[in-house]
Amino acid sequence: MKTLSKFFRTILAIIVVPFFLWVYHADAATLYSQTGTGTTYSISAPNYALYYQVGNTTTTPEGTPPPPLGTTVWYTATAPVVSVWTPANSVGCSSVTVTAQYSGIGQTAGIGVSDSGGCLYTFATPIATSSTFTNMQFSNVGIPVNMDGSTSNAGHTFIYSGGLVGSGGPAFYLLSSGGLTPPTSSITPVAPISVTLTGNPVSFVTTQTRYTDTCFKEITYEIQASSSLMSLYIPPYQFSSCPLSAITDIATTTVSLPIQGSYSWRARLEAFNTASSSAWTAWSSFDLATSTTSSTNFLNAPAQITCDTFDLTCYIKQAFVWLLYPSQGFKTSYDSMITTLEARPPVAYFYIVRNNLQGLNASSTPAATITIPSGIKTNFFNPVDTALSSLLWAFFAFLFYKRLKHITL
Amino acid sequence: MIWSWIPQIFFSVVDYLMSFIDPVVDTSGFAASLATGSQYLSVPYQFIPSIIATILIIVAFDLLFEGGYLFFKVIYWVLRRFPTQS
Repeated sequence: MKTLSKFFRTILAIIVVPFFLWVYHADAATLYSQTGTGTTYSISAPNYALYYQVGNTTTTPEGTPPPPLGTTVWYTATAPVVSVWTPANSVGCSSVTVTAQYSGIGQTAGIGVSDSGGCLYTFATPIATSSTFTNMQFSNVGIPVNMDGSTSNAGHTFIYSGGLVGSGGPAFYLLSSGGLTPPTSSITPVAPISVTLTGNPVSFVTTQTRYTDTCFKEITYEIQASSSLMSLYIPPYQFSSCPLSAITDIATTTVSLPIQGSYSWRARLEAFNTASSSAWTAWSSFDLATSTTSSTNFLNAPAQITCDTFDLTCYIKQAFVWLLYPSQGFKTSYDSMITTLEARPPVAYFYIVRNNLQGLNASSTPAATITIPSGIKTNFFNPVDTALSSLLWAFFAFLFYKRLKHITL
Repeated sequence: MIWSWIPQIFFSVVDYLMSFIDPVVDTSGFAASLATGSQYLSVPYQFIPSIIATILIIVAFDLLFEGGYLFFKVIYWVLRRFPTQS
């Protein structure tokens, strides 16, 4: 009798354990499976587009906005600076000359000529590389406009931007006296906003306009589940590079959310220097309702069966449904209990760990990029990789067999 | 179901009792740390992908297997508490 009861207990345990695992698997949604776009971004120096024409007098760097008003930037040329382009001024291009002083040596540029909506000033002698501008003056018929902001001619607008961080003193200043306003990068949420969604996954869509003054590495999201006071994590949408000119594009990140209810989310453009990141968008809300396919999908039998008059089989089926098939109240109370349990300790801790472990993968954005010559990779690393992984699998099989020998039910 | 009301009462009671416990607030620190770990893991993955993938699979399988075995032992321990005729 003891053996018999022990046998039944074992059978019951073997049935109960898989049942629980199956039920929870049937109830749980896939979490944090990002299917959005965004490629690996190699960590390198921010790629600023130079507002100056460097080395090429025929290319106009149009659409390249300057840094924000009042910014002091540094400039080190990577190629001889041949000319300078500015937006058109009120007195005309030919009335203005540009004098660039670098390292204490004066260099007078040519008189400006009209070029693609602006003025092009070509230096008589290209300014050598690794030079540091100390000052740049725009002279208009005896009215000097210094780049340090002191101007006696408020009608002119000269806007400059520079590139990579260099060494030495400040190369030039942003000078603006009305007229053109430096644009700033922005992000706008598109979806989901004030809608009720049924089921997962959910796509978060934003449009952003990025300029070349600030290099944004990714779009960062914040999302909160209002119903359960949970802050969730959505992997950021990463840009592959910084634009060489102003760009407006759409970003979509798709994730599966764990629970139904109300959500609030916002996003921002994240820069390498966090202080340069854009402001957060306003909070947008949406509801995630229960999917039309029931979460308790192990109960798929029909609740009502209509039988013909003399269909005995159907009547038997009806009897079994009446005896065994749970009512709607049963399903509702069960779903409610599961939802409550999933958000409360200790079950919630298990779900947090299990769900977040899905974010652990070896092929995400690397913290550093390693360049290996292809010959070494093919002839050394690949065979070693294959051989060692095979050994690992064999060792695992051996240890797992030994482990199984010590399992007691 | 003929006796639906029995489990219904049980579910309702459990739901009511659990509602007194505050829900867990996930600060996403765990997820963020895993994401950072993934970034570091991606560095050796560039040149030894098979070994990294093998290690990850073995660790995940071991966690699942031992977790399932522990869960089974817990259930079995609970069932053994019920008196049986002997």
